[in-house]
Amino acid sequence: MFYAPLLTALLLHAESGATLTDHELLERAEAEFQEGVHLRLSRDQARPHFRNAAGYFDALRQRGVCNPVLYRNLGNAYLLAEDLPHAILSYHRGLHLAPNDRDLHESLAEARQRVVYPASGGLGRPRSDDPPPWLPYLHSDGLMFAAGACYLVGCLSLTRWWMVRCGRLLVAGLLALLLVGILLGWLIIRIEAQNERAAHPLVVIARDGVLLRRGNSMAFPPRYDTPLYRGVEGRLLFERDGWVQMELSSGEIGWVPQETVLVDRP
Amino acid sequence: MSWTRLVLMMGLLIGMVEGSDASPASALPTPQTPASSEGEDVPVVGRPVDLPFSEASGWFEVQAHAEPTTVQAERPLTLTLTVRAVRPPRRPPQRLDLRQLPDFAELFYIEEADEEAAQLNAHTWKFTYRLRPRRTEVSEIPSVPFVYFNPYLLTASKGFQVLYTDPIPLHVLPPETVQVPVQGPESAFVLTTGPSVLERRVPWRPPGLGVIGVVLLVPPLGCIVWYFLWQRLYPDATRLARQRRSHAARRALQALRTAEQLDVKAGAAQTAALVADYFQQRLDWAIAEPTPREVALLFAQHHFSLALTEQAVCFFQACDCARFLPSDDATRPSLMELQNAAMRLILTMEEETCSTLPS
Repeated sequence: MFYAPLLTALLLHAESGATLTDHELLERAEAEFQEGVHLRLSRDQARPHFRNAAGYFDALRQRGVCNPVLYRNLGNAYLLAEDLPHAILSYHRGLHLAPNDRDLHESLAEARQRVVYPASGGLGRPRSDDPPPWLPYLHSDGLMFAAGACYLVGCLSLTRWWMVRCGRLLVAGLLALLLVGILLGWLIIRIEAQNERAAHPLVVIARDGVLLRRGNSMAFPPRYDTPLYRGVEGRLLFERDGWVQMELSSGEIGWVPQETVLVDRP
Repeated sequence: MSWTRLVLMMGLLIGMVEGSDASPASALPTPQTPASSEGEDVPVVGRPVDLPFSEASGWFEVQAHAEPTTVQAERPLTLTLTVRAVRPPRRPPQRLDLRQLPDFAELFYIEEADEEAAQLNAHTWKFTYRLRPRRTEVSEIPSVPFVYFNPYLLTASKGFQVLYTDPIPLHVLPPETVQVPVQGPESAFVLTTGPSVLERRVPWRPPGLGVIGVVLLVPPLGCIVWYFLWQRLYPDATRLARQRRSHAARRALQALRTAEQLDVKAGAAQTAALVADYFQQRLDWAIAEPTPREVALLFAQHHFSLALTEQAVCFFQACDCARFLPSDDATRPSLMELQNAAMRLILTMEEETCSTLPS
């Protein structure tokens, strides 16, 4: 009984890696998901189907398929299979590709609501990182294109002003260059965030009752008496000897065994 | 000891050997009185240590009955144990605790006894148990060992007897399960399909230094090329642009255009003053009303061309003529001619000086 999920995963991996095409994998994943939805009134019957669907979707991900839709489906399958840590990780991966995806934001919020946080204190409780709804999100390619276009307009305007000495052209050119500066600043901030994410990837607690320790060994005392539960998020700081130093979303730092966490690695 | 008594003793020994059977009545010894004179006392020595003792003393037979024999797992069934004394009992049987029997404890949940043994008559007792099979693999109710003391046997060491009931076949059905629905937001049950699911999107990466350099350099270079092309294709426009580049010239030209309503003398004086003011700003000249000679000296100091110098000298001479000759003199120039000459002078000077003087 205990080895059933492992056996299923091995079979899925062996089968998917050997013979199935991407389309066949996708068909199987969708069929398993729909069967789970069909049996949604019985959790015990539906969960294995959602788990299988998640396995097929994850096999696609490991083959290099990468888009927000896949991550949303994958996260939903994990969520309905009650695998909270993988669901949260999948939603984060999707949001990295599509930060404006409202469904992904809602699903992540729903998954976070299921995480058990301490009743007192904010240990591990994530801060809201949702952008304000009025703030438009421009994709980095769009930012680059807009900055380039503004730069071109600015150069043309200033050149024309040099030819005909019309004050409006001078103002337009300076405004365009000012806009270029703003857009480049925005882009630099985004690149910095991306570098930060690559240097300190997301870490999700995968087991219940994990204690943050002061060092990379069970001999070190816990930093906090309150244990962490599945789904608590943080950032990876260091790895050493099978231990991971992580910083929780609420700012606390400590060491946990590597097998108790999921790390967002490509 | 007579032979009759000896035969009786042999019969008792045979009955003792067969006494462990579930039907001891078939091996009943013939004597009607107990062999032990101690009567109601049950010895402590010799009791089976691995089975619960019923505290009964006498000669008994036991039967088991279960109802129902087809039951769902974890649902209760009733096991009835009937104990009947085949000889007058010395002590009645007590209720057995089936939880002390590993076979029962492993296969069944055994509910607490909440009822006393029912004594049907002086020789029959009935014990009722409520059992719940733990799983569907349970196929029978095992034998119940009934341990009692038989004082009718003459050998004290064999006095404790064990009767086993027959196993009762049982058919256990899978339990009814309570259907718990899958919890999740309604949007999580919606699967997004289509070719977009199989897209391989590469996360955005900033461009390299080469691309950034090209993007930064191409527009200015293009603009420079555009400017030189424009200069070559539209030379008049270039000249105008150079003229506009001089604020002093622009102001002087603008003032000349607004001086059209004055009479000739005043207009000539104003035109000369405007041009002199232009010279002051353009050439840092301190003379307010220059004479033609002073103009020629000044232009020679700045290494202007002879044509430009001659044009400037002629302009100031014309201004003097307009200001000081009588009004009926035919050689006196008109104001319009003076203003046009002033504009030409300024434009010619701008054209000639734009490459040598700061704009």
